[in-house]
Amino acid sequence: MGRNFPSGGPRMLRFGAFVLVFAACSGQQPAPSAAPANDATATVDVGGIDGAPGDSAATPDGGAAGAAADVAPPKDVKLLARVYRIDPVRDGGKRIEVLLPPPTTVDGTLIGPFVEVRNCVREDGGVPLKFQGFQVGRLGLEKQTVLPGPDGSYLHVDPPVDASTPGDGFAELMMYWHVHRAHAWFADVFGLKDLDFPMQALVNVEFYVEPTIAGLVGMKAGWNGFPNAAFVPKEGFAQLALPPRDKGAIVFGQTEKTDFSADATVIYHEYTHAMIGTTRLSGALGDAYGLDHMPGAMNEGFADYFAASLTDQPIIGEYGIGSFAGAHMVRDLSKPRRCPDDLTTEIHADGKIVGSALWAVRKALGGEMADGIVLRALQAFTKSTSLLGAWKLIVAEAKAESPATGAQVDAILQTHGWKGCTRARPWAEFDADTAPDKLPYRIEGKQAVGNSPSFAAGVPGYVQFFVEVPPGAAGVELWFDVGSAFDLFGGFGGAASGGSGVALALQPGEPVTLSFDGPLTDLKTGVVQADPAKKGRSKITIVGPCLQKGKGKLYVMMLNQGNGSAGIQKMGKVFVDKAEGATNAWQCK
Amino acid sequence: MPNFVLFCAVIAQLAAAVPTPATGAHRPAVLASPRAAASATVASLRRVFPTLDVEWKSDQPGPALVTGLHVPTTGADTTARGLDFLQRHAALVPLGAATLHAEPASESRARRVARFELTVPGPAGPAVVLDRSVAVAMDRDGNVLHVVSDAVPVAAAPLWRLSPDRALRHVAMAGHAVVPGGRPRAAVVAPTLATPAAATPIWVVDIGGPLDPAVVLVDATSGSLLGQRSSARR
Repeated sequence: MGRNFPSGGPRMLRFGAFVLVFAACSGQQPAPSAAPANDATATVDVGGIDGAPGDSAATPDGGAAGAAADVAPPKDVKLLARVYRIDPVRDGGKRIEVLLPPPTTVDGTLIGPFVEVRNCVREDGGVPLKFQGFQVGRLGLEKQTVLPGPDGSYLHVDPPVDASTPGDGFAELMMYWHVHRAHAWFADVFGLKDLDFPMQALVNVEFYVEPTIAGLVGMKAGWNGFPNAAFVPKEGFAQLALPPRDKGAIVFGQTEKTDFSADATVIYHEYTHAMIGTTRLSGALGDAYGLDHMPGAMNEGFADYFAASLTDQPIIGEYGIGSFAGAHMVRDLSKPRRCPDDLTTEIHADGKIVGSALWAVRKALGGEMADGIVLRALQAFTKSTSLLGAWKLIVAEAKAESPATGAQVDAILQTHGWKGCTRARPWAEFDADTAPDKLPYRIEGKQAVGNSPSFAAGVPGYVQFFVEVPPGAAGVELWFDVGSAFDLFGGFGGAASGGSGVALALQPGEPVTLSFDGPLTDLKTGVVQADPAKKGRSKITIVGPCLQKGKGKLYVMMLNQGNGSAGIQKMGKVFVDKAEGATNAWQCK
Repeated sequence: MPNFVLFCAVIAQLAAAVPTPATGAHRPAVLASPRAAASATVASLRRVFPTLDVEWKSDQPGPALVTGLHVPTTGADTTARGLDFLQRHAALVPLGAATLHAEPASESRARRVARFELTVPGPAGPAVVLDRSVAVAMDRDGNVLHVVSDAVPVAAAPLWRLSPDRALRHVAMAGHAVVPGGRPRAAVVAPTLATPAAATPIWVVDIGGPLDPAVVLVDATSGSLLGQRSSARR
């Protein structure tokens, strides 16, 4: 789903996050739901999600279970339930009445043909949580808690009055309905068979930290929430030597503010990640312009797009992300973003370049045609498909509809900068705290990408910058503040923050390019060390003929020389009219 | 695994179809000049399909993308049909010492896509080439429409000089929480920015404790750590 933290704090949160992800299931004893009644409920039309594409039936896929293939059960008998169409905020607390696909369990607990929901409850018996060989706590116990009522329906399962309620059965219900609906949409509308199995979905994920050790690991004693949602492939579970989940799992946290299962856009986002899997858009590569995070950004963008399409509206995570991370992190695909102007170096934020373009295509062509084009193209992606490759594949699929459609889609994607996007932005005044996404520019460190000769001068960033020096200026002073990077799993991911020592590689007239045959010292203008003029701020003044060689345009590649990732929190520039007396002057040729 | 065995058999047939001399002096065109061979194949395809659209990448001798095709294939299933195409157009996806490992195909009403990872012989079975894969997209009748590839040829099957236990020790010494009982997996990093000269044999070591389900990549020759990554997607 994505999250973006300011510096500090996230490591503690990450600790909690993955404990639960790897929870094993033991001692499952289905029990009636104890979810409280909710007086905010307002029943609306039975079945389906009004206005959602491809959802003409009253069930997500009643026939897919192999039973009642064409005839839905009478609504007044069984399997009715009430869920949020999108989330409690967007729906104003009102729910729609839906017809669940028949569970495959004898007792009616919520395991179905295409999802196996597991509620992580605050009970003993969860998998011990270990760190560095020491047990520090345990995970919530995985079980199914929801049973049908006396009338056979699930109408008694209401959302908890307090969103912080752990282990609520309504989370199971939301997950059961929306995963089946997503599966039915991909399967019925497009015939996609890739997820024809009961995917594991963990809800209300929390973990317990022993009071005696909480202080040592910097965490709260007792139950801690998992502040996110994620798709974890099977190898992710193997990494902690926990019981395998052969098909991976989608995982949804419970915190003091947010139940991530209550947001359908988050569910659809993670489901799409699972559909994309690990064989597409999972590559972490570099190209001539530096590290390339666009495969990861595209993975996020496609996940957002299908989440928006499934809800027929462009806003992702208004409740799930907004209540936890703030409104600025909610992703609105109706607001266009383009490459390279809007690059942030964070994959969820940069996924908006992809998601907003696809949403524009959908607005132009209509949902069914756009969704089909996008899905067919996505099917052919590889681990490291580039933005340019994605553009060509989508346009090719659009042309297959008609030449006019192809031209229309081509124009939209080009408007969003998909064709030949060079990842370079103007070196402009920047403050992460006031930027639209409130994110610093991230530069990976050697811990993330290794200690190869190519990175001897430092690890290149995901984006370059350029300065246009006006005629008459003798040079330009560049300044920037380096701090910790935001912390998340994306791109190369997993490495600690705290990098320092950022150098600059300069190139007049054209972007700095990396050679595949040698280290960065091959650069025409070499690498310069920025001088930390004061704590946290570096300044360098570039003077000399190189500024004229590039007709005033100077490209800058930032190079992180530290082990941990670095974040550029602020940056700016000042043009100087004389070289004498300049701060940390550097003469370029 | 059965798919892999089937695939190895097919690849063996492919190899037989393109005789490889015992010495490197007369290597087949596919190996001697992969970009030239790929370009020639693209040119021949373009004669049949004038609207062919091709994307090339600087670090990849074969095209990253070919669209505008309509090439019939034969085979019992999507994977077999994809292999049929790749057999007849091997220069598009130069592999060197690598072979293709079939992944589950992606099937929808309008498209069937054969998917392959690259592998090389490892110390205990096939070793995956990281971040590299090939997809052959077909219509429902099995006509190839697009070929998408990250493949780069691996010059020769590398040698894993470092033992798995040594790799574990290197990772632990660097301060990572090695997963108890976890065994390193052999893999290869293809020529990239991080390994400019040649494919690098590596050990993939699980780390994380409860924090991060991540792996560290260890150079199986020098023992140096080549990076760290997570497979979770949020």
